[in-house]
Amino acid sequence: MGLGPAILTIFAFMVIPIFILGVFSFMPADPYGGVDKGFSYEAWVQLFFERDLDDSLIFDPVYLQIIFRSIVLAVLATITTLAVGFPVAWYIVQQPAKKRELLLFLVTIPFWTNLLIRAYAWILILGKNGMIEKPLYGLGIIDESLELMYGNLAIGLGLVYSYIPLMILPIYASLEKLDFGLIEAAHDLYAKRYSVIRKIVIPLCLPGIIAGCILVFVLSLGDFISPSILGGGKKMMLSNLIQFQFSSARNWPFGGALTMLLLIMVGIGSFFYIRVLGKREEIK
Amino acid sequence: MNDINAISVKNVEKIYGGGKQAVTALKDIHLEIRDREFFTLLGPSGCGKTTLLRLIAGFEQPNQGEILLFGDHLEGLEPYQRPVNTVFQSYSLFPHMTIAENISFGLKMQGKMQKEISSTVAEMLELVKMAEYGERMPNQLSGGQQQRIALARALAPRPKVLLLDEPLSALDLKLRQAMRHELKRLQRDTGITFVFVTHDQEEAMSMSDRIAVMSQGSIQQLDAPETIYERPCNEFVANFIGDVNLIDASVSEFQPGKLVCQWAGSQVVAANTATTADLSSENRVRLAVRPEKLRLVTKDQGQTNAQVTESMYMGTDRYITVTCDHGENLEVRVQNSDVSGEVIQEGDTVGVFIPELSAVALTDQQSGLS
Repeated sequence: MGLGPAILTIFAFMVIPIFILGVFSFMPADPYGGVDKGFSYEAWVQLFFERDLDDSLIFDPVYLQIIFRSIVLAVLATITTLAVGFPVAWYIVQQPAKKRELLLFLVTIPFWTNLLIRAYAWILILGKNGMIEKPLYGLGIIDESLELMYGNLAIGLGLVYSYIPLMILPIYASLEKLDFGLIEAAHDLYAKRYSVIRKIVIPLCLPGIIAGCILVFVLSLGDFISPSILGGGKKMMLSNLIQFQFSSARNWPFGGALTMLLLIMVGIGSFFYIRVLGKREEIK
Repeated sequence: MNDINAISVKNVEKIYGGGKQAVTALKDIHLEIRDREFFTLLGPSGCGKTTLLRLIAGFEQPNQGEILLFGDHLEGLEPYQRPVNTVFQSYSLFPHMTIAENISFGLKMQGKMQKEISSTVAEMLELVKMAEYGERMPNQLSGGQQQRIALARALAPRPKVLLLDEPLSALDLKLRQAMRHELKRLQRDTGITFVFVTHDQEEAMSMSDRIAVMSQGSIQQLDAPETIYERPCNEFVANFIGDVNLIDASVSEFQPGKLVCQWAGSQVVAANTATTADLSSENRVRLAVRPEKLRLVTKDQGQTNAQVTESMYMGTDRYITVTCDHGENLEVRVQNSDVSGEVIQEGDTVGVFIPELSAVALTDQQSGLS
């Protein structure tokens, strides 16, 4: 019964709104915002096709491209945060207890500032005449802007920067539980450092690695701030597109359909996570 | 038999930490472990026995001195470069691998051929009598079974020396006793030198060819189990291995290997293991007598008379405490083999007799330790 209020809150403020959006996606759009009565799968058709003047459907990949870009950027962000985050977590866990606490604290420091402000800070770094370009101009290495901002690179960097603590922390948590006696045992049985990481450390902290990957992937996929500020709105991601439908485009059903699609993709990711974890539990 | 020692430890010193917090874990250790020997490092926790084992395995580096394995220097070699394997106290089986994968791990890392690996794994499972368990996971096995697998895993690469770090301490008593026979058999069958670390003197006595008794980072005595028990060199060893009565006597005469002493107004002839020079300057000496070596005789027939203050029936033995006329308390163990029905009762007055050479004179050097 103790969970009652929590379940009620989640139900009232999450499940019901999502359900409403799902219903909206099957209704006709009201041009002034909101939805009209009736049933229509127009919004779902719109994901893949455009209506020609004569009402015939023409395949239109523009939205699919945005979805595809979102997935690619989220995957790249996940891979990059893993590549950087795992060694960091591995390093932290090997430090003496006091230093570990300090390092973990440093990892979480970016959370102290608003994400929006941190995104703007990246403009100062990457932007025209920013911290990267200025010295390069001065040294005469470049004579025109590198155009680092407002593209996939800037969005990707923003994603990696925003979510890397969410990769480091779960991996650290699982590494901390690792029995270091096993590492000694593996060394004793002729395994060199690299083999120990590959055969012992990674398999045993897989739950942490997967948790970190899911967190970073899901949040990157639905990220709004990086594409809108660092991408300058030129390169949209899924969440910008959704926001656009509910505001300027006033196409709520299409926004609802996109939301459902994002939810389904996240759901598939989580499903695999639970399956992999479930299999490991069986072993135990 | 090989003339070269399996392991030679020369002048090894190990200090943890630095500055004011530095702790000396081992000081000036000299040790030679023979080929095919069952060698035990015995001592209380914190005596440095595990540190010495870890130095041999390569998990720690000595601050001074050197360790040789069959004549080869081990200095600077990583654990994975040393042909020794360890059986860990907590087994440390890899939880995500099957039993067979656990045993084959070392062989795979050595780059052995698959065919050789599978035959060795089968052989090892057979050796520890766990042939049907290859496909199980470690957590599906009992503690005793995991212990056997840990042994099989460490023996599979055929190390030159097997190091065992208190491998039996996590098992219950019955299993521990059964595993003693098992370990002894494995050592005989494989012909590998075993270096066994334990704080359990019974374990050490029952299995070892030789024992090094350690305390406070140094070796107190290194001998065969019988010698350690019968002829302890100092008070620490005498106390640590078995029960002992320590009595103070004065020396009246030196003889080769013997020491004629005065105790309670009578003469006691004690064995003298130390060089006479060590004792000649002293006229007081401390003697160690095992409780089962003391005899209770009829009043006035022994060196002194005593009152029985406690008599405990233990089945095979009777543990008796007597208070001598001059005030000293002694523990006596009387075997329960007398069928006459005569039983020593509390309050009886008896004679205490210390037979010739049943007491040992202890060197005073280490007697500050306990």
